[in-house]
Amino acid sequence: MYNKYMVDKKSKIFFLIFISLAIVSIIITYNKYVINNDFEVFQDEEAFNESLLEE
Amino acid sequence: MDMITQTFIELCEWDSSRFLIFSDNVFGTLIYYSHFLAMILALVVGFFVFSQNKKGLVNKLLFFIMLFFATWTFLDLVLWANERPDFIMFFWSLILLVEPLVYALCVYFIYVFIEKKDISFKKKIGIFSLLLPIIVLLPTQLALVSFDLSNCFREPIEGPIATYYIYITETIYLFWILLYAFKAYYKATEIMRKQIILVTFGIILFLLSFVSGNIIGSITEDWTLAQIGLFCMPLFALFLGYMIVKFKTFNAKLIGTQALVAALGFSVLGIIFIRSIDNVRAVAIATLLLIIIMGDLLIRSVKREIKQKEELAKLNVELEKLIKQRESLMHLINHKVKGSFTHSKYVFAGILDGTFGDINEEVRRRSEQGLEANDNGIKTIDLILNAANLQQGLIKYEMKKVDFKDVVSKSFSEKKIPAEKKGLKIEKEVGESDYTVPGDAFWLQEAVNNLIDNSVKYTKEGGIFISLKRNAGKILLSVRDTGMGITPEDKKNLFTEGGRGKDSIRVNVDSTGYGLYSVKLIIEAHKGKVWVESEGEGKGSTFYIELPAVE
Repeated sequence: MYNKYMVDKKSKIFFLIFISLAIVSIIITYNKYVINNDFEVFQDEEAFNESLLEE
Repeated sequence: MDMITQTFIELCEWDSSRFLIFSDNVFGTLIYYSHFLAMILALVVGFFVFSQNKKGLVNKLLFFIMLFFATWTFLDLVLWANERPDFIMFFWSLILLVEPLVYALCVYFIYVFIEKKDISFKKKIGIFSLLLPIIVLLPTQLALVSFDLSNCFREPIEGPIATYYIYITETIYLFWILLYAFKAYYKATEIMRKQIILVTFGIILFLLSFVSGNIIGSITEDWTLAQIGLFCMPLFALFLGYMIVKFKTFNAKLIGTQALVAALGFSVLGIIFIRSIDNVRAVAIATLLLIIIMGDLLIRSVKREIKQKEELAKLNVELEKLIKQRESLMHLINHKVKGSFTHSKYVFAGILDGTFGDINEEVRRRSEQGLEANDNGIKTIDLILNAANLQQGLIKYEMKKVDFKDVVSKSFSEKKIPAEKKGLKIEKEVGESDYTVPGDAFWLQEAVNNLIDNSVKYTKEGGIFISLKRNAGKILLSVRDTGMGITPEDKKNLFTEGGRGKDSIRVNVDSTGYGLYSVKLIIEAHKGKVWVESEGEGKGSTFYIELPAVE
């Protein structure tokens, strides 16, 4: 019953651009975090030093 | 990664994950169970609905919703199991994208489901443009600021996109669905209303399965308990199953429904045999039992519905046959029987007016009786034919301003003669007022004639009292008689096709059961009401016609 309600050409182009953007964003994110390890690490230095002293 | 970070990670003593999702970092096997069950159910339901109609937009949308939900569940499991900060940062980012995407698809889905057509291009832009800031800013610190290693937290510190924007977007999508469903509900038909309630409730429940985990976890600090939220997914699958059966949504067939239940059953059965979930085996068995029971009900319901449909189709064929038979019978009555009556009427009339020569008194008397019987026959045929035409909507009313007082007076004068001939007293009382109604004078006359005629026929002694009143924009005609009265049982059939009181034939041998039925059809076509009141058998009756007056 829903067969005739297909997505039109304009929408297909829109979704294509949308999906492409999402893929590009995912690739950049992967590149940033996994390949380049480009992120800061927040750590409690004090607790860390204490644990080193304990060892 | 610098040395300090590396050492710190080692100090946290996290387990290394296998295949991204298996590690001792995941505490509580319920987490595995809730995620696996939700993921498998989503995939089974998604593929099932898609396989039923691969080209249907609503089927495609549900398939993508289920696919992205399964992806979300997988990513969530990765975050539970993984120990690598870079992986956690990446998969956390992916979750930030997938979660609102499922919400957006749900908005799109509900539109297509209710309207049964694709939405406008503008609406699509409106729905999906809310996701653009997330897509564009995903690799920036506005999404994830840094990785939190303090106290071995093993999670990112979120930026404004993750902390605020996503929740605001999801809330907007939720309200969008609710508001649209609410609006559509008031415009929809009765059957569609049920579907709207079910699909909206199901979707809201499903979408809450994402956020409920965070809410329960934050309040109780028990993240195992937070997994309960994911069980909303099986509930959503049940909702879909019910809708598939009840409303033939997604064009599912019996064999498809059986396959769905079997696939769900086998999926859960498979989970039971995974060694690592010993602790939740009882939960898994309970789920399997639930699926078996629900599946059995589902299949039985489909079978029952198919049987009912087959019976209905058979009855339809019989009904069509009967309608054709009735049409040919009406044709026969109209042309042959009425034609014969008309022919013999002219013969009797010819005898009476001397066309065939002089006649004696006996022949005159017999001819008069024959003519009267003929007239009655023609009237009866007209009554039946009129009722049939009125019922089929073949009558076109010429609506004009009609003085209902004139209609009543004309009927009164016509019916006075046969009533008085029967020895009945007949009286009329009309109050001073304007009795103009919108209507077709011919058919209103027919209705009033039938009503008074009915009282004359069913009253042996006493009288008939006609009253006409106007009150609050309504015109009320009442015809009270001292006739045989009506039992409550007979009242139910009185205004139906061929409906007669059980003793009516005894009083009136010419009773057709079509007179009052015609009155009802005519008056209702004039936006009026007709009814009868009687205290019971032998206590007379009062018939009422109420019509809207011209203001």
